[in-house]
Amino acid sequence: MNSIKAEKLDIAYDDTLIVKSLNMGIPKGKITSIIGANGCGKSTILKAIGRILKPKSGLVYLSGEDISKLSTKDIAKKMAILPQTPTAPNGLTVGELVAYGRFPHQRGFGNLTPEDKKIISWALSVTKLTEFENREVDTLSGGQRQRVWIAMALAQQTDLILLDEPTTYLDLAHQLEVLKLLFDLNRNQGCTIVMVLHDLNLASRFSDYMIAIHKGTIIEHGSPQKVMTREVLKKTFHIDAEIVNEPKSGRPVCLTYDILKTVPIIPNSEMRAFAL
Amino acid sequence: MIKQRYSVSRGIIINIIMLFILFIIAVISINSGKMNLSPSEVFNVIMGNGTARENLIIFEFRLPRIILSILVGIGMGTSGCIMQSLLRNDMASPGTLGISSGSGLFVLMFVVMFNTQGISSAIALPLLAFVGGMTAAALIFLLSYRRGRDISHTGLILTGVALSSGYGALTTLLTLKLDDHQMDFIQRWSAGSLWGDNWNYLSILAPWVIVLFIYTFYKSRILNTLNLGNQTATGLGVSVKPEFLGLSIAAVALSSGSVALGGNFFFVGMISPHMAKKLVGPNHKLLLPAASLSAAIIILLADTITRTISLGTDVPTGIIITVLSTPYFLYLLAKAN
Repeated sequence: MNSIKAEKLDIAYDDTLIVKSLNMGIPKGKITSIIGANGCGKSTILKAIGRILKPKSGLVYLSGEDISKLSTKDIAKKMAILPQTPTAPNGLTVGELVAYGRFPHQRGFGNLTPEDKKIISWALSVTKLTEFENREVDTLSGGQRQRVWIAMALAQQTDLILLDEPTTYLDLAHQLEVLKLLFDLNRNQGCTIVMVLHDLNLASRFSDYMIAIHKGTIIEHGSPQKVMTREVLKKTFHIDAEIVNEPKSGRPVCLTYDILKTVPIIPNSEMRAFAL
Repeated sequence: MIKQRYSVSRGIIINIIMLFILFIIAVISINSGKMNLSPSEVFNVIMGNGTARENLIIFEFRLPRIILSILVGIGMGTSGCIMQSLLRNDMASPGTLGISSGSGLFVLMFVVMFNTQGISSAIALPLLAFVGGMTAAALIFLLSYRRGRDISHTGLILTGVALSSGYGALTTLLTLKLDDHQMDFIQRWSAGSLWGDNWNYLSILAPWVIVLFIYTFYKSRILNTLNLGNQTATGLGVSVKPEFLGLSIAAVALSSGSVALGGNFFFVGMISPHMAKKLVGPNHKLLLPAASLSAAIIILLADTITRTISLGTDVPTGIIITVLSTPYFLYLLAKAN
């Protein structure tokens, strides 16, 4: 069962085609990570399935419905999306920002109902932010701030959350903290989670499903065991990776890697002499 | 538990205090001028027992001017606040983006071609200013917009400043054709002269400003989400394009109405939303009224000062504002770095 299905997606910035004729499925109730080199189009794909970016052609189905036919507000009731490093205005408190997550469920002037308030305090407690409710977002640390944004997405009460590099700029412990939170949400609340991740080992450790992208096309998709292989990483990142199974979880990890030997840029000595 | 800096109840109280301050200044303003009237005399006039001369002073000169100051304040404050939130840029305002100058150029063309009396110009001037403002906004958008990329903050302001000086050059070119009387009008207008202070003009400006303010206030929830960035707002279910467009048009319309009848108050549109943010925080339900009230207070206070302190000649209100707000502006710049 797919939560999201993309069919023949062409995505372009201006006239440059970034993604060409992409077919992709995101399994429901699972954690999916999209991996790939810088500029390979992974964020672009996430934005397109999150309807932030309009594809040039092709269709995206959200639980079987064509998203271009749904109102953006109706989509927001089913799918939350967090862009990369969002920023909050000065002086906004954690509680207020999380309350904005209720936006798609509100009408008119949007005063919070008791129901809304209940959901907000639930979102705060799940993300362990209850004590920070009245703190201003810009006074928090990077890891806490990321949790606030996730809490806002939770307040949207969607079955599906898309995140664009949720661990960027975070240190090791905070990266783990954010991913563990997402993992718990998936296992306890049944949220489908789709994220773009840079760290391959964390992706392997926390994902049920991985999609490796190179130049806008899928190299491989499936379980971490299927995607985290020497062959796939060679095609995706142009690296020569040493893959071993991590003893604790049994998940494949990249122990070390080297840049793949390619044809030398300057082919012969005469040319080199000329270049120097 | 940490105490919240900007709670809703605090914001409401601050807004009420500002309303009260505005009222006090209005009372002082109606009492003072070239001919001082005591509060009891003013009260008599308002109750309908004034002499013809007192009636003339209060109802034809001072009251319209006070109302104009307040309306221009609401227009500039709201407009600046919308622009700053939509563009997520504290330097954005009708003045810095060159929108006021665009409106001004069209006002000037009207003044050159027709005279500025009567009800027809009361309708024509704000409309023309609106056309000028929209032209300026469209130009800025075309020059600084890059598809799929966020609009760069400095790029936007630089474009605005560049366009402003372009409009300034055109304005100067046009002023060569003016006679002394028109020239005087334009000079005073560009410094912010609150010239449209008669009931004809007010009867157009009042509904214009009030309707647009109510529209914007109704959209405060949308402004709150757009202030998080367009992508986050989309994720929350805001139809970013139509809302952005609607609010931009409202901002331009508010500023052009104010600019047409009040003059070019360069700083008010930028500084009052700032002060308001400091006082009530980023929630637009509190911020929009606070920005409007603070702008109204600034303009009315400046106008009262200009009318009370005789500086020899008639000094346009805007000059006092510029003198008073330049230090604040410099302070903001220093803090931004």
